[in-house]
Amino acid sequence: MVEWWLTESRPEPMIQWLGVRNLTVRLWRTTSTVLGIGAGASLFLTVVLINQSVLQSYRESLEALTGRAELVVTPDASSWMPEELLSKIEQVPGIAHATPSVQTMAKITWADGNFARNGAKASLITGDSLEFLNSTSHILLARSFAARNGLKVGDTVTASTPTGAKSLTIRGLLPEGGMAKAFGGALAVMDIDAARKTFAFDGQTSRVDLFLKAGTSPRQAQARVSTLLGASFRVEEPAERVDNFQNSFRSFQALIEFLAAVGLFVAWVLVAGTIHVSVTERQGELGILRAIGASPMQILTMILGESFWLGLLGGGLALAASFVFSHAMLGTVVAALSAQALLKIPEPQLHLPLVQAFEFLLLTATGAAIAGLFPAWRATRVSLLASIEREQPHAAAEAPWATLAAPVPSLIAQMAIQNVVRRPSRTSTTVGLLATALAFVAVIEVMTGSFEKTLSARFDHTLTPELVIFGQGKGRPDQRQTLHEGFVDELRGLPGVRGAYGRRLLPIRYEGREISLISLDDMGVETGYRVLDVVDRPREQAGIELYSSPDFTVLVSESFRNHFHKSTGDFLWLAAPMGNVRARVIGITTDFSSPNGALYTSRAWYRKIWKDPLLNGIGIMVQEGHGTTALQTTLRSRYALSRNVVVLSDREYRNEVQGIAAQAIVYVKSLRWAALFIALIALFNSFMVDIRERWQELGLLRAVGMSPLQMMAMLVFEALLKAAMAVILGLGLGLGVAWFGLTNFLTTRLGWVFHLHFSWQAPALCAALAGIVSILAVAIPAFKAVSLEVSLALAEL
Amino acid sequence: MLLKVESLSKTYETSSGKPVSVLSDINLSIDGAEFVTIMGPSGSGKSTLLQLIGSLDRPTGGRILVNGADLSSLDEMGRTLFRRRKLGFVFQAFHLIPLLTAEENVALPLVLDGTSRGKALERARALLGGVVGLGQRGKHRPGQLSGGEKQRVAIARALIANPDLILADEPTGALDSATSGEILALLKSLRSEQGRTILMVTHDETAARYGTRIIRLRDGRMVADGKPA
Ligand SMILES: Nc1ncnc2c1ncn2[C@@H]1O[C@H](COP(=O)(O)OP(=O)(O)OP(=O)(O)O)[C@@H](O)[C@H]1O
Ligand SMILES: [Mg+2]
Repeated sequence: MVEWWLTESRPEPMIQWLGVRNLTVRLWRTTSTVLGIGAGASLFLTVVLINQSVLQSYRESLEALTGRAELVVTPDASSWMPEELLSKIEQVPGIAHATPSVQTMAKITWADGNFARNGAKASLITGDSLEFLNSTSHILLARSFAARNGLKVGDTVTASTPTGAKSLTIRGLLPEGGMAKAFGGALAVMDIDAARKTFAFDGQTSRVDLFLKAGTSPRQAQARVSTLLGASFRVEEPAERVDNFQNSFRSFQALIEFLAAVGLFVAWVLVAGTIHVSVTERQGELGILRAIGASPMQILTMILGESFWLGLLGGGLALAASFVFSHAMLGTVVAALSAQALLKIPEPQLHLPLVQAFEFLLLTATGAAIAGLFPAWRATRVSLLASIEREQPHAAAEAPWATLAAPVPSLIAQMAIQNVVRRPSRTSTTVGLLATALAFVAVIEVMTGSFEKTLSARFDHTLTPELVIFGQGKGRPDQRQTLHEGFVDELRGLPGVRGAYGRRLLPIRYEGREISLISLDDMGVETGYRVLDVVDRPREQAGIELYSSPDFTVLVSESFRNHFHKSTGDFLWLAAPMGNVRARVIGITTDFSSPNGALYTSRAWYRKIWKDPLLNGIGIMVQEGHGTTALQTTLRSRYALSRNVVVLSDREYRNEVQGIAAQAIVYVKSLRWAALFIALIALFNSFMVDIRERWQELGLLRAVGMSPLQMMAMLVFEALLKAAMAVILGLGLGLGVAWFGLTNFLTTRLGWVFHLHFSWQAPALCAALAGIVSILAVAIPAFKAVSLEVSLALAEL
Repeated sequence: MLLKVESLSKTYETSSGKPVSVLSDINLSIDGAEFVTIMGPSGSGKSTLLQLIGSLDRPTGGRILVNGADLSSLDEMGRTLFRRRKLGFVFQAFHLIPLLTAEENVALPLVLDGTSRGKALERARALLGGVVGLGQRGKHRPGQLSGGEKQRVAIARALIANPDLILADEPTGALDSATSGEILALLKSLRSEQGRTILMVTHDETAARYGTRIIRLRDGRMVADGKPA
């Protein structure tokens, strides 16, 4: 017999209103859940927002610099092209005119009252054909920059150049917009011939802007000019050029992206945990709903709807929070990225397009709904009886490991341990939440530690000269003011100098990617060629071959080998100003100057092929018996001002480089605080629910004579036990991810080889943080528990 | 025959691996308009029996037929519809939804079945004001009601879908004797005035006297079935 109640089908009504009611009535719980989700989501959004804004700002700078040219020609193989090529380009059909320029970085200082003040840390001086500026000492400055620094037309500034300090007079101001937007206005413009003279670019050009005749398409012109110039030059549209430029901080990007991905996952786990906790708390209520006729589908959609709303609210909160966080962190990030990229990046405006904000909200809400899926599904499946009638599963009391607690002398500790083992599902939620956050901390700690350790180890076994000389500027050697090789000869003649050696880093292209070409003067076999850091054969042997082979030889970095699959014994072709040259690979070395790879060669060969007299740094070996400090003082007093250089001891140099690395890492490190904050809220939720669930039990304990202090001790001890479990789990997980990140992700993305470095610091930090976070999280719930009215708690029995 | 239970048994698997037999070989027939009480010592399986009949749990053996339809042949949705449309539950601990007002709690089963909220609330108000006599308390939350009042709300909720069968597990277990008397009288009137069938578990011999028939369980078996003394 078929019954009406089975066959009469009505559409199943949704009971979303009940879910919404749950959110509005339990405001306190909703707030803490939204806070947890918001914190998790903002961790992710902050990273995205910062990356995006900084990249945008960088891009705008580059675009402003590229100007209105339709095509840009740059030499592929070196920083310069011979001047005579210009007239050839101008004869190409379709080209209206071609404007050459040279670009370099120089520090500018000026007198401000009685004080010499540092102005632009790294200003860009671009030479252009500006007839009215035909004096070698005239420049234009961006109006905004001049205004900011109290400079006006007619003032004199001092610029550091490869041959020493030069006085320059401001003859005019660039109007707002256009080129003056580049680098936040920190740039100066001067006549090209003046620039060539001042900055030792004898007859060279670093860039040609092409303007086309009406009716000529950029593609056509590009093809024609490319054919004319051959493979050693790049002819690009401005947009392509910007893309290529951005590769220069791919390394940093890759690290951040990796951490953002891990962060996204961590955030999601924490969000999922928070929702899981809030659903578990209502298990009994859901059981009642099922008993009075709610279908699994109704329960499922109700919880998914609730999670969706929680996610939406949390996403909204995250949106606001990440603007605050990003704003606070922006300065650090810009500094770190400016040190990574070749140019100063102006501090960007935080900007999130509306569509993206909407997408983010949707993502958070959907993410939360997905996170609610599992607990919702469990809620529909849970035995109705277990959830309605029984406080705890029957089996729990007989858990075999419950006896584990027996040998512990203190009753309080014993009870705490019992609670931890007897309620495996609650324990695992709490431990899982904390462990995830700790794993994130461990990943950051181990990865940045490995970075720093690898860097300092490299210094330990390669740093040879006792003193180093650089041009003014901050950051990597290739971002500083270049020096002229004549300076090396001068230094060699000084008393106390045993040897002076030049080093040049030239960014060149190989198979379409930017790599570093590093050339070094021969430091002599008696140094054991430590500086070369050859990893696949004896260094001495490799050094001798590099400096005394009759053919052109190079060392390739590990990253180069990983990207281009060239190693010892292979040959490679490099595009040089005079045509292609063949290089023989004689060894593998370690280098971190470019993520794509680096080549090392002797400066004698480099000089011959690239005809470049400039240097990025000079190393000095001190004569025996002559004090290093004494020589440093002498060199400083002699050249610091006249040549505008810094003279550093090996220790100072090392500290400076490590300082730059540390700066880049600050941003990454600050992410872990965000992760811990989310964990704190998530744990707080979890402890709160835990204590709610044990309300009667706790009331009973108080009723039979447990003092508030004893109860507090028991709850805190429980929290610490869970924290200890989380530390072990989190460390294991974190080490695994860090190991994967270092050996797989970074090596394949960047080619750099880092060695996993694990010190006691990571576990110590994790343990300390876990302790602090769990005590903070348990404080309020425990306080609530000890201050509960015993009669009230028992009344619920 | 409204309800027919045939050689019903229930065994639990415990974590130690030893199965525990909680009910065995229960046979029972209940007609319309009966008020059956189930008695027996603690742990004898009374609640388990009620939960099996209420399809909150599945038996290990035997069958439960309601109006001839076999409960065990139903899928999850069928069981849900059975609970929603044919059954009313009353628990010792009331089990009202704390988020909802008394009248919303009462209206819930109808709302779950697709009746509009306005209509369902109207019915709920009528029910609260009528049989259970709680007219003024409709807008209160469960936390603001006394035990007896909560149980009246729970009974109204059990009645709203107009079910044939009401299952009550120690509905007076948490109430004092005066309030218990009122609740039992209310249940009794449901049978005598509305012709509903009630299955009630109780420990209390006086309570059992409100019923028309007493079933006694011991160690999971039925040991007696007869009229109250
Ligand atoms: N999920 C389960 N797993 C194992 N044993 C169970 C489970 N549920 C109930 N039992 C056991 O089944 C037996 C009967 O339980 P039931 O709740 O039906 O007893 P009762 O007669 O209602 O007792 P009381 O009068 O105390 O409410 C008990 O011994 C109980 O321990
Ligand atoms: Mg019972």
